[in-house]
Amino acid sequence: MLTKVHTGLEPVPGVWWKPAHKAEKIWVAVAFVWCMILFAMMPLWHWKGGQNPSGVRRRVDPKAFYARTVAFANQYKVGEDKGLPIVAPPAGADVYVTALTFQWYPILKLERGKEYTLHLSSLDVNHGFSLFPINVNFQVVPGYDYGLRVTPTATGDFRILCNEFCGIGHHTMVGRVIVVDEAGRTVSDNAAAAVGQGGQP
Amino acid sequence: MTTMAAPAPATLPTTGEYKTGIWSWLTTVDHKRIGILYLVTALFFFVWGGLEAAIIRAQLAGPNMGLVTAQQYNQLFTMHGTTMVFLVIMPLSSAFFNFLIPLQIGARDVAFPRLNAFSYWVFLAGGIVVTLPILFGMAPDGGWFGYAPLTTKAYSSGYNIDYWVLGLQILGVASLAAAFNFITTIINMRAPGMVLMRMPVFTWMSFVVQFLVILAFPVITAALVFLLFDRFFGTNFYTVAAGADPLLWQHLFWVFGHPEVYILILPAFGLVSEVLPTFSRKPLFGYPVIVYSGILIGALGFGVWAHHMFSVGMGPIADSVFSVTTMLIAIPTGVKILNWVSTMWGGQIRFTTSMMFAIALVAMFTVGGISGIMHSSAPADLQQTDSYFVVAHFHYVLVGGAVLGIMAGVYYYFPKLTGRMLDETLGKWHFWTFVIGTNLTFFPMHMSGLYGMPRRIYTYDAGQGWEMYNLLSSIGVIFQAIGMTIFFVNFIRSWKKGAIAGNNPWGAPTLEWAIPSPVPDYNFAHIPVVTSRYPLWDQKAGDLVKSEAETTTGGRLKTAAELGIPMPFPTILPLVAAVFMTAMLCGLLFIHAGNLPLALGIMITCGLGLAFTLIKWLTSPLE
Repeated sequence: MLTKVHTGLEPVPGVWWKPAHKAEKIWVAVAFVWCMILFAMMPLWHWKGGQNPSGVRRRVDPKAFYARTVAFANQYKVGEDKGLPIVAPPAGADVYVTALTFQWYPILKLERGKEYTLHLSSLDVNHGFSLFPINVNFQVVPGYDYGLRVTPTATGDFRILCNEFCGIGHHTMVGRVIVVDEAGRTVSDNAAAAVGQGGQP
Repeated sequence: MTTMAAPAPATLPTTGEYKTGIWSWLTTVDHKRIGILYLVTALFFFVWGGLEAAIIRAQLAGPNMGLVTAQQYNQLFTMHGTTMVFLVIMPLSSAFFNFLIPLQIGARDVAFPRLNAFSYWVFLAGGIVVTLPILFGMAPDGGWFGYAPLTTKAYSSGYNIDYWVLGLQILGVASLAAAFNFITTIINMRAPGMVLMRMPVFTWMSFVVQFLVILAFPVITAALVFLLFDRFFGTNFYTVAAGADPLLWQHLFWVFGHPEVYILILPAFGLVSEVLPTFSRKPLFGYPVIVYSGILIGALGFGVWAHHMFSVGMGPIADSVFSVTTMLIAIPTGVKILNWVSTMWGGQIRFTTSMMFAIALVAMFTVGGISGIMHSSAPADLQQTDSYFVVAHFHYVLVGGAVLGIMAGVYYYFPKLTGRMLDETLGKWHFWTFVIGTNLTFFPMHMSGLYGMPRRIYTYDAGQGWEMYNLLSSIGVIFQAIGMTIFFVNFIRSWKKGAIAGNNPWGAPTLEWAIPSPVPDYNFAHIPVVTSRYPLWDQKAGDLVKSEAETTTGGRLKTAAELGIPMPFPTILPLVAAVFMTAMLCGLLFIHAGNLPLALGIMITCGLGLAFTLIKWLTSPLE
């Protein structure tokens, strides 16, 4: 009863397939080699290129972290904008930012070319740290202190957008990072400056 | 059997005992009618979710618009996502599972016809629980992936999330029951000779999807049970201040959420794998490879979930591992794309509407697939995650992939469903407006995402370079709406007045085309013996179906009784059981309201009602 599985079309006479053409073999080989190179580049970028931000996460009590942020803000406070302190920590300092519905606390004033250790955490729900317009994204979750070494390379007045949905005021949750040069100046057109200099935080 | 389309008869074939009326639909256990119920319900929700999307796009058309409030906006995008995933694409696939699997494997019904009815009624009840609150301004508003702790009671104290948790739990019951049913059907009820490697690819992909459902849904169920206990009974699974891990929900959700993506897309892959060979007049290129790659996609789908979480800082090792698995999963997917292209290569292609949608899937899904590979690289993903770029990516996958594939399936199987053809001219209009609209809506989202626009923002300020792209996206929605309107006009008109189709209007090769359209309630007057992967192309007609003299009498088809085929009795019990189960779970809402006695009263009454219904169900004969 079982008949051969075939196509319903006129059978193709003889051996219908041909051995792979030389060009095809070269193409497959090139593709394979390229895959391997890309694969090797992943760890290479990470260890040599500084591409993958290697944050360190530690467990932290959300309320304790917020208290530390407030203490930090009071210590280095240099000004105020709409009720939020503007904080200018010295180079190499531990810098604390807490995300809470619906603000980034406090406003940072950093100096170009200096290294800081940035600590990010949240007081309540998940938030997203997105530095506009450079599109660097980190999720900021309560209970984890996301530690990150940053060296600002472009001056300007940058915005931190929240890009993890956090409720009714999600779209209004915008923070500020001011990066000044050695003389304490910011460039007025920060967006163009950042993109022009290939800026990285 | 001839490879040419059979000439259409003048009237629809019928057994003369096809009952209509609302009671026959409420009590039906016929897999074909349940399939139609799924199809119609899902299309209704499609309009519902589409209108939500239209309002979202109207709100985002320009900067600082105030068409809806932020509160309403949050409900709209949450419900758009939830509706489209759980109430549109999954049940549209279910419609095809129900209708097609028994026909494609040569069976008379699914393994458990009454459980099948139960699945549908539970799905409908769950859908109502999730969608109805938006009419009262109380719809879920935590995003379709409802990240805890935002969705815990401390931060979302209203009823909104309660409906979401309960509705999703109820929908999960429907999906799980259906999955066990279809697995049993495919394993046990294939016609003689229908070995696994002769099964049509749609049935194969459905088979894979059912396993994904039974492995992935328990995970979301566990996550939702934790959330439900947190919200109703004051537990602390997601309370960070009490020591909960804030990433627990994210891991659980995405262990479910990523296989869910394949649950949504694989049935569409199966449908185009039916459509492309028929309209290319060629067998599917590399059938075994298509099947194996489908299985591989399903298996690998469980190992990629954390690529949704690169930005939470899992460290370079975890990031690299999930990058690699994500890149790996692109290989079987790419294999499928190339197989479909090779199927068309050198074939005699007929550009029917169905074929055009299938070709569009191959093209549009490739766009979505390539942006998916971009996300697999963790450094690149850090720039794209939670931006509109991701929104563009998954809409290309789900609209350009799943919806276009399902549309190909609707145009292809409508004749089998109703006995009539969908109008091809209207179909072409539908195709072009919808596909142009899809690209116009979703392509600019790549750009607005790369310019930094985050997801889920209610509105935005001018001057960030986002205005033009958002306006283009909103204009695209108009084209999509026109396209879908044309489709619904065509659908309703053709159901009543379309040209009579005949058994096999497309000259298709698989078993379901050997029997009359619409299909009589017993499907096969005679169970066919299958000796080929493409029985209608390779086997003689007499091997598959009995002669006309044996199956018809007096100008109509014989009834099941005349043929001596036992049929399951219609029964209302699955509907009653579904209502009791849903009401029992909804009793929890009164705990939130602070009325414990009423909550317990409802839950105990409905629980007893459910128990008695199940006893009655299990003790009443099937046929």
